Order: sequence, then C-alpha cells, then structure tokens
Amino acid sequence: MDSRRITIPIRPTRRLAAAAVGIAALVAAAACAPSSGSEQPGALPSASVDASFDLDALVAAAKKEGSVLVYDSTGDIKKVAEAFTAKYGIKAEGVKSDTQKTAEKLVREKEAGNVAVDLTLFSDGPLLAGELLPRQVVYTWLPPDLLKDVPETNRNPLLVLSKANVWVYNPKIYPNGCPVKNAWELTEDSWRGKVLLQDPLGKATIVQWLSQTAGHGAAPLADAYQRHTGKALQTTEKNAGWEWVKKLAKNKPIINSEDENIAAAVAAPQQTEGRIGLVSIAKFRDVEGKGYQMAVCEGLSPWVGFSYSKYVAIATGTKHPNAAKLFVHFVMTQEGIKHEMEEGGVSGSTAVPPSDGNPKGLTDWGTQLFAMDPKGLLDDYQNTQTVQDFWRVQHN
Amino acid sequence: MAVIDRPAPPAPPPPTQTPASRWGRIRYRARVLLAEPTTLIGIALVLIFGYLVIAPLVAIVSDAARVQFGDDSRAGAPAGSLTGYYLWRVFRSPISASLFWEPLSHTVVVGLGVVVFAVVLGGSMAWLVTRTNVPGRKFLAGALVVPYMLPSWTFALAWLTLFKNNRSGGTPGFLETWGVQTPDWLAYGAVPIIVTLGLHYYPFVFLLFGNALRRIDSQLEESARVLGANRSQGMRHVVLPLLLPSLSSAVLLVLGRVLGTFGTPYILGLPTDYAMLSTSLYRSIHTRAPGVAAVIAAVIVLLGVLVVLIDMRLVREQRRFVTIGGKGSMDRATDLRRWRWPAYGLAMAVFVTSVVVPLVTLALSTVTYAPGVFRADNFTLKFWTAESIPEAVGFPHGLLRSGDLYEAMWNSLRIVGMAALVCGLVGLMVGYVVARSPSRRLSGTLRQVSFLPYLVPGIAFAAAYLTLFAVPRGPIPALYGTTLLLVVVMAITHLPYSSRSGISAMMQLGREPEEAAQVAGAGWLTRLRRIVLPIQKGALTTGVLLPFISGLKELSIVIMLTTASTPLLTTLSINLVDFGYRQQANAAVLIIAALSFTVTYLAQRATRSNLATGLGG
Repeated sequence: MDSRRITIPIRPTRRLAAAAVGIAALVAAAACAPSSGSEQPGALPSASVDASFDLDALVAAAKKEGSVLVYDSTGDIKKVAEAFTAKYGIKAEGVKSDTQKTAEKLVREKEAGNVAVDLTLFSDGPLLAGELLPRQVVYTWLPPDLLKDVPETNRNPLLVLSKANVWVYNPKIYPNGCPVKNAWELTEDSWRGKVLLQDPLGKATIVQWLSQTAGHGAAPLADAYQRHTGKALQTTEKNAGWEWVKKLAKNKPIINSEDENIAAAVAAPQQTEGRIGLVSIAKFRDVEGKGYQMAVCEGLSPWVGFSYSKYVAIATGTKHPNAAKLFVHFVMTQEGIKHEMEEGGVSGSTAVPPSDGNPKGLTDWGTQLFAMDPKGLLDDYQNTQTVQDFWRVQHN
Repeated sequence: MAVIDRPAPPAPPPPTQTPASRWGRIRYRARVLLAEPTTLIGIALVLIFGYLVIAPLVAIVSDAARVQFGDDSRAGAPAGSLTGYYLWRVFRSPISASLFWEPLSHTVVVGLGVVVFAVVLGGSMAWLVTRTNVPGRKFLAGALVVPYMLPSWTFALAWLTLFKNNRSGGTPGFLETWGVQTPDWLAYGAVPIIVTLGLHYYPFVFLLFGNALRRIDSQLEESARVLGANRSQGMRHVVLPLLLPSLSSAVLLVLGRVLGTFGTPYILGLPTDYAMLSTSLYRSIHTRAPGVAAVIAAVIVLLGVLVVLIDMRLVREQRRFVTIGGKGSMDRATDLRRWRWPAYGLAMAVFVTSVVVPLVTLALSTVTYAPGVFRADNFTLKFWTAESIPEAVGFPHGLLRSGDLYEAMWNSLRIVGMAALVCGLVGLMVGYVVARSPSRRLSGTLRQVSFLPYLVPGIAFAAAYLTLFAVPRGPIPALYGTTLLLVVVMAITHLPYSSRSGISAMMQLGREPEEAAQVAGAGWLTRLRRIVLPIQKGALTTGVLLPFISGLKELSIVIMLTTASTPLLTTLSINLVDFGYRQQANAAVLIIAALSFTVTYLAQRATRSNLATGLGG
C-alpha cells in the first residue's frame, strides 16, 4: 500500500515532518502510531489519514494479514464481525467486554508489546480521549473516502455511533403522557424516592452525563428553571448544572445496578406506582414480549434524555493494521454498523440513514437529547472524580 | 489418640566415625531428602507461589503508592512518582467516610453475620447428615451442596422476588402482593445480604466440617463417656477440638468470599445505599480509579491475612491431634429416636429455602414471557427447545438447539476441569507440607500465601497476569493467549479452596501409616500413591470439585486472558444477557448449575466417596 500520512488538522509547516515520520513508521512496519501527536501535554494526538487511499489495495493488504480481533461493549459486535467476514473473507472475531476491561487489556498489551486486540469500538469517550489516545495505546484512523460524510467535530476521536439514554414513564399509569414536563420537577418532593438511575459511582456513561450536565448543560437548565418557577435560579453552586445535579442527588433517587431493573421498576405489567427512570434505548427491545408499559417521556424540558458516543480506535501495536483499518471503514458504512443500530442509534456518518429502531417519541436526536460535547471529553476525564465526590456527598 | 512428637528427625545423623567423602555425604543427604521431601516440596511451592501469587499481588498493591495516569494534577506530582495521595483520599479525605469507613463497618457486620449464619446452618446440617440416622441422608448430602453451584445473584434475585417492596418499584414482591408491607431493612441492606450470602456459602461449612466429622472415631467419644464425661463434656473436650481446624478453614473460606464478593451486596445494597468494601472496590475499578482501588484491595488483603493469622493461632495446639492413626476406628451414628422426623423436617426446610426457592425462581424465569405473571398464556418452553425464535435475532433458537451451547459446554468442562485437577493436587501438596514440615515458618508462609488469591478481585489478578505472561521472562515462555495460561491462572486463583481442604485433611492424618510403609521400604512416591492419596481421596475430591464449581462461574479471567474469544458457558450467558434474551441467559445459568451437579455426582461416584457418609470424605 503506497500511502503517506498527514495530520489533521492540517498544518502546512508540519506536513513535511509528519509525512516523513509517517513513511518512517511504515518502513518500520510498526503500524501507524501517530508519533508526532504530542503537541502539548494532555492534548489529543491528531488522527491519522492516508493521503493516497485505495480501498482495493487496503482490502488486498488486509486479506494478506488474514484476521482481525475487535472488542466492543455490546454483543452485537459478533454480528458485525460475521458480516465483515462474509463480505471480505477475512476472519473477524468480535468479543463483548465492558469498556473498563477492554481498556485494561489494551494498556497491558501495549506495555508488554504483545498486542492481540486489533481495534476497539469504545463507548467511554473520556477514558479514550483522556488516557488511551494520549498514552498512544490506540490511535484514530480516518477512512479518507468516507470523510466527506463525517462532520469535522466527530473525527477525533472518530465517532461510530451515538446511543441514547432516555427518561421513561408508564403510560398505563399516566395515559395523558409523561407526568413530568420539566427536569426540575424530578428534584421536587413529589418525585422524592421515585426517580430511578444507574449508579453514578459505578457506571461511566452516567458519570459523563452528570459531568457534562454540570458543564455545558447549565444554560438550558437555568432557562428551564425560569420557565418552571417563573423566577431566575439563585444558587450557591457554580451554575445551574451543578445545582440540578445536587438537587437530584438530594432527592433520594433509587440507584440501581442495571437499567434492566429500572425498566422493570417503571414499566412491569403489575406496576401501579408512578416512577420515572433513566434507561438505555436498547431496553425498548422486546418491550412487548415482556408486557412492559414503557414510553419515552416526550416533552420533558430541556431534554428527554442524553446521547452518548461510541468511538473506534486501532491498537497502536496491532499486527493487523490493514485489516483493522478495513474494519474501521466497514463500521463507518451502513452495511457494517446497521447490526448495532437495530434498537436505535445514529451513525457517525451522515451517509447512513437513521435507524428505524428508535423508540416512539424519540424523533429528533438533535433537539430532544442532551448531546455530549466531544470537546469536553478531556475535561470529563479530569472531572470524573470531582463529579463522583460531589454526588457522594450530596446523595448521602 | 496419637500425639505427634515434633519435630521428628527423619533419620539418624550421618555416621561420622569413618571419614566419608564429601560426595558420599551429599549423596546421603540427597537420599534422606528424597525419602522425606517435605521441605523440598515446600520450597518449590513457595518459589512457584512467589511468582504466581506474590508478584502479581505486589504489582496490584503498589499502584496505591504511585501516581496513576491522569491523577497528576490532583496528586500534585507527575504520574509514576511516589505519593500518599490515595491513602489520604481513602482514609482521611472528606469522602473517606462514604468511600471507606462506612463500607468497612458494614463489611465487619456482614462478615460476622454470614459466618454465624453459615456455621450454624452448615454445621448442624453436616452433623445431621454424617453423624445421625436422619432419614434421607444420602439425598441431603448431595442436595445441600447445590446452593454453591448457583451464581450468588440468583439468591439476590429470589430474595427480591419475595421481599422487595415498592421502594424500587417494578413487579411487586410476593409478600407485598399478599398485603404485607416489607420494611426497607428486610428488603435491602444488611439483613438480606447476610441471609443470601449465608445461604450461598454454607456449603463450605457443610463440606469441610462434614468431612472432618466423618473422620472422628466414635471410639474417642465413647472412651470419654466411659471415663465419666457427660455428653456436653465429650463434645467440648473431645469432638470440638478435633473439628476446630476444619471449622476454622470453613470460616476462612466464607469470610474470604464475603470480603471479595461484590455481586450480591451490590444488587441488594444499592437501593438503600448500603455499601461494603467489595462494592467500593468494584466501583473504583469500574470508573477506573486504580490508585484508590489498590488501597482498598490492600486493605481487603490485610484483613484476609489477619483472619489467616487468627486461624493459625487457633489451630496451633490442635495440629497435634490426628484422627487417622494406624489403628482401627469406628463411626457410629447417633440415634435421634423421636427427633428423627423433626430433624428431617428441619433439613428439608433448609433444602427448600436454599435450593428449591432459588432454582425455581430461576427456572420459572426461563419458561415465562413476562417475569412474575402466572397465566397459562405466559408460559412457554420455546426458549429451551424451539427450533426457531424469529424475534431473537442474535440467538434465533431455543438454547438446547444451539451448537454454541455444546461448544461452550465442552470448553468449560475441558478448561475448568484441567484447572481443577491441577488445583486439587497442588492443594493436597500444600496440605502435606503444612502438616508435615518441621519448619513453622515454611508452613506458615504456605498457609498464608495459598489463601491470598482468594481475596483479590479476579479482574485485578487477571490484569497482572497479562503483564506477567505477555512476554517471555527467563525460562517462562510468553503464555498470553494460550489455554495453558487460563488453566494455570484458574488453578492459582481457586487454590484457596483446595489448599484449605488439603490442610484440614492432612492435619488429621498422622505419620503412622506412612511410617509403617517407610519401614516396609516404600519410597516417598509410593507412599504418596499407595497411602496418602487413597486415604485423602475424599479431601482430594473436595479439593478438585470446589475449584471446578467455582471456576465454571468465572468470567473476568476468561475475558482478560484469552486473546480471541474461547466461548465458555459464562461468556455465552453474559452475551445472552446483553442481547436482552433473559430467558435463554438464565437457561444457560441453569445449565452451568446442572453441569456442576452432574460432575460432582459422577466424581463422587467414581471415587466411591459415598455421598451420604462421605461429603467427599
């Protein structure tokens, strides 16, 4: 494969150096570590693209490597891997492993220089941006022929798929729609002990959500407060975001280990008490089969839930760099990612049509959901502990 | 009762009257060593454990004193440098109450509670089954071990099904449907954790204690009675001291599990914020706070060491008493007379609560569409046997129709079985050295070290092994990714079961039988093969079966140490959970339990350790 690497964002003065480094890296056959990536401490290394890209050459090179092993936090990855094998004839294996185990494994393999996991679809953005990428355990590779459909903000790290958590209620108990119209109601006495959440001290996506809410969620929450009470929020905390997190924690929400239990608590057939719970949209899978009465809390202001991102990154020391790249290419197309979108989700590529599996009531991800700001990933990584400590203190 | 004089010199000192050559003396020493190779084996074991237990442990705990990546600004020092930050955070910071002290006190409460619960339940059941004429002993001996074959969360599930109140909402608990408002303390927190963990772990006491009870020569009790002791004196001064080592071993195993288990405390504790050390550790690992996790892990390990020290002190005197001497022995069952049937009722009650209830809860969940709805149209067998389930895209057939299931069963059986065999043999060797070695330091070290793997969460251990075996080090090749490594690591992490059962069994076996053989000219290997192993067949079986049962439920190690997925039953089950196919996932859990039970049953049949009288003894 005749390819040169450049860095993105493109810096003309660095292009030559970067290209030289890239060629050196290729000659050394040491995968494609972005060795010029450490502009400043703590910053994200830049993503790598191949300047001259030829898909056929990539496929040929990948076939020569023979196999690829990918880790993901969902079991759906097995189906993606099967589809990959069916299309390219390259043995692909998908393993389900939670992000924390995957991260541990990637770091240890990198340190030992014996890399088995070739790439990962990774849903803990802060950990990826804060640790795995800066430590060059993994790197981001961008498929050049698909880039036109990938918005600039989603390229580093490369967004594969957005998933969502939404507030749900029981339409049998509340036939007139969601009983909560404003997020601040969840912090009031009438909902004390009736809001269900996953563990913010044990679940990475929930921590990230709280962290981002306390950050760029502040302004919309302040507006919502104004609308709800008719007066402006007075707070001793840093902003309305922190205030909301504090009040939510103090309102004795029921913490649960899995959102399966939360879905059952809200929507089980025998449920007679009103509850509001935050669950992954994947829980809408098989709702009829279980007889659950569950609906998205449509109309909840400012958001009915939040979306979080799954990224893809290649192990720096991979022995199958081309097969890994081809896999990245594959999951950035509809053919590859559709297997992970059966229960909803939005692809990182605008060329992939939206999933028809999104639950009823969740129609517009852009306005209905609180979106994680990809620029906030590093801050989230730094803030994890602060947010958790804050929650600990307020919730006890 | 035989009393060992210790230390017993294995042979007279080498003759000094003739000037033997240096070479001759070495040869003589070597021969003596080979005839009584306890020390040699002991040293070999210490070396192996040093590499496989201590090295990873140090690697894990040392994270507590080094600034971890990403914490540099908080700790005020660059990553990798020495720091007291994590100690401060866990012990002295504003959040240490909720991070550490409260969980610590909860752990102590739950630990004591579970031990009392398990000892009372397991001890009384063991006595009933081994020493009395209670009806159905054969059945009970097999059935009362089953709780340990189920994953501990099935007990939590069963508990919630019965007792959960409207705090966590959802399908109401049975009691609540009948109009009984269960208070929070009964539904969540300490009480349910103690009861469910107690029900899950009492088989340890049942097995080890039963094994020891079985060994006690009734003649001893009778002698005491003949000499004028009454029943309770006979119990206190003769029977209990003999049982102390196995009791202490069982307590250790139970306590170790309470310190290390997070699943049940997490599920039952969360709704009322009842955290234990294991929950704190789990949360730190899962939100990637390795520094804090290391401090908490170190505390858990220290607590474990403390418990082992207490155990060593307790059994120091008792180690001199052996129940298997060279003389004949008898065992005679106590006739319960009119208490026979009440006792049977009690045993059946234990059986129903600890086996039937969780099993039925689990089984029902595999044959119903909606959980907890008992209408005819809600029942189906399709999740077990259907040829095609079109709506389950990822697993479109009943569990029993899937080729994946049989592949996973074979892998589980093969890998876990090998690990358990290795584990059982090594455990017996540890027991041999601990009981026989003249060096107290050697036996103490082995006791401690062989127990440690039990206290460290599997995921932390597995991660350390990855580093240790990813590259060749000295004579040890890079084993990362091989089945062999999986076997080795599973054997090591489950060693405490077999070493404890080995130690308590070997403590009871005197030197006499071996010495008799030695006089008859048998070498060490022959003695081991012809005398020790046959006598300890039961202990060995227990020492193989416990790791096997526990290993079948293992997940973290498999994910961390295989390079591609080797489908095991646990990984199959977890994938099914992830797809949301709860029925098939629970069916897979039932298959794990069934496999455990079948292998246990067959192994006991094959080794002729009769279920009723043996409990693996």
